[in-house]
Amino acid sequence: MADGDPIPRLEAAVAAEQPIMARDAVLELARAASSGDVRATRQLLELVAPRVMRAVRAVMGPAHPDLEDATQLALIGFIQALPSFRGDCQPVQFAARIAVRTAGTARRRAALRGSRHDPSADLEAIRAPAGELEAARRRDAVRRLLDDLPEEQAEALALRMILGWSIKEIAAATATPLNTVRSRLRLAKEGLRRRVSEDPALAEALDEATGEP
Amino acid sequence: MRASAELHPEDLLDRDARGELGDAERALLEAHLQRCAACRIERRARVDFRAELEPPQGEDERGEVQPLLAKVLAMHPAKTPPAVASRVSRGRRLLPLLVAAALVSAAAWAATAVRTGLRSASAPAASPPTLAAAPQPAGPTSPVPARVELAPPVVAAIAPVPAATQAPAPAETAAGAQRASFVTHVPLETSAGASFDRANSARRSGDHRRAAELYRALVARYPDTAEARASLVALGTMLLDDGDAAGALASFDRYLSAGGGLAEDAMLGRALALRHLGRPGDEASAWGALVRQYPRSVHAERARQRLLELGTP
Repeated sequence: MADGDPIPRLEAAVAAEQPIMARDAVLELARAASSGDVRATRQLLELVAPRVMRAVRAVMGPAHPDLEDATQLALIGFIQALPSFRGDCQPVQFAARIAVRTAGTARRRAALRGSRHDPSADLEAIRAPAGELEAARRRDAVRRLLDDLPEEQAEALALRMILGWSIKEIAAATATPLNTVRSRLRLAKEGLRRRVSEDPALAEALDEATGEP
Repeated sequence: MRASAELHPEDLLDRDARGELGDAERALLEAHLQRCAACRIERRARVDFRAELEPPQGEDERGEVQPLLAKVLAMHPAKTPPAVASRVSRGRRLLPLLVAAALVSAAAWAATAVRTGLRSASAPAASPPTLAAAPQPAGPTSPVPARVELAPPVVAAIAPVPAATQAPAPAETAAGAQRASFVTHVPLETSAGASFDRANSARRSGDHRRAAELYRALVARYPDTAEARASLVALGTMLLDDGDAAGALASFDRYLSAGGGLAEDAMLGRALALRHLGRPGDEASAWGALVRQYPRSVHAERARQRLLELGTP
């Protein structure tokens, strides 16, 4: 994110953990890491790893069997993608976007490997305190919805619904025009609405059992 | 108008989440939410997921982060001297292969675990090896010697091989007899996974001659395994960095003839090999194919830039 841009509410936790870095400093660090500087690489990884872990966990579900592998792949993907980093967003956002893509792909691959049933959903519900059971159920339903969307739409919707990003942030982190992001979100929501209207169980899980007026 | 055809008021949802809406805007948003299930779901989801994204309270997250970073950094090629640019570049391109190597090891481990009943209900739960786990031997029932001396490579160069020469058992054809003579130098209990681990170790240690021998031997002996497929890309990348563009191209071509999860990297290697060979027309086609097939690849921008240089945007 360029200097002066607002820090969104949902990025506040990240901002509290790590100072927002000036664009030049970020680019210099990314350049050093890209060229093989171990210290720069470690510094960047330490900066983004907590956020990557949480993003992967949120997208995959906290008890997904492939969680650890996907987290490692996301961090490796982050290092690999550094040469294309332009400093249009903070490194944590750049990494979080990669984490969302990696986690989404891992979920889809896991579903193709085995049954469509995701055991992590049950485990999350079991582990959740009583007051959070409904939220856990809705989170699982959202993850299942994302599994069935085309990849780019799923990514945009995950960045929006799970990470809580604005359209501007999604556009910056994905290097995509604003209108393209809007279009992907519109299509994703259309697909989401269709799925919910066709699947009463899913609608119930999302507290949409009464259907769309 | 149906809600699905409307523009969804994402900006209002953002400002609502920040508590910034005035009365009029709130009324607009609520009116939309009454009509639009998708936006209702979005608003609830953003609240539901917020807790999962916040740093855990009362827990030291570093305890989870540090081991993870250690694993990732162990796989990162930056451990090579940064001043040697070509080696760093090679390492970066080999990263997916390291991951593939670990995945293949994990798959081999899992298969062995299933065969040996490690995952039976009576056994304690076993975790598959992580991506950064040390190379796994074939399994408890097939110990692998620490070092296996191999004969000179039986496959001088990786080149497309007709399927018919791969199908028969080793002793059934002349090529099979050649492989059989090789087999006498390798303990029978050696698995494709163990061979792959040894080849990768040799490559990582800089012994490329031996690594090439091991990769080629693996491809010859276990042609239908995932390890053999990954070996083709690993070998191609290594040959390319060592200046053997023709050998690299043959290896990438053979991999791409059947496709697979490393196709993106193989396509990149193929384009680079063609560049080294001074075949601009074929190189442009290779870059073009990469961009078409993987438009969002981390290599896509490089491909487009090279296409411009070649005058083929």
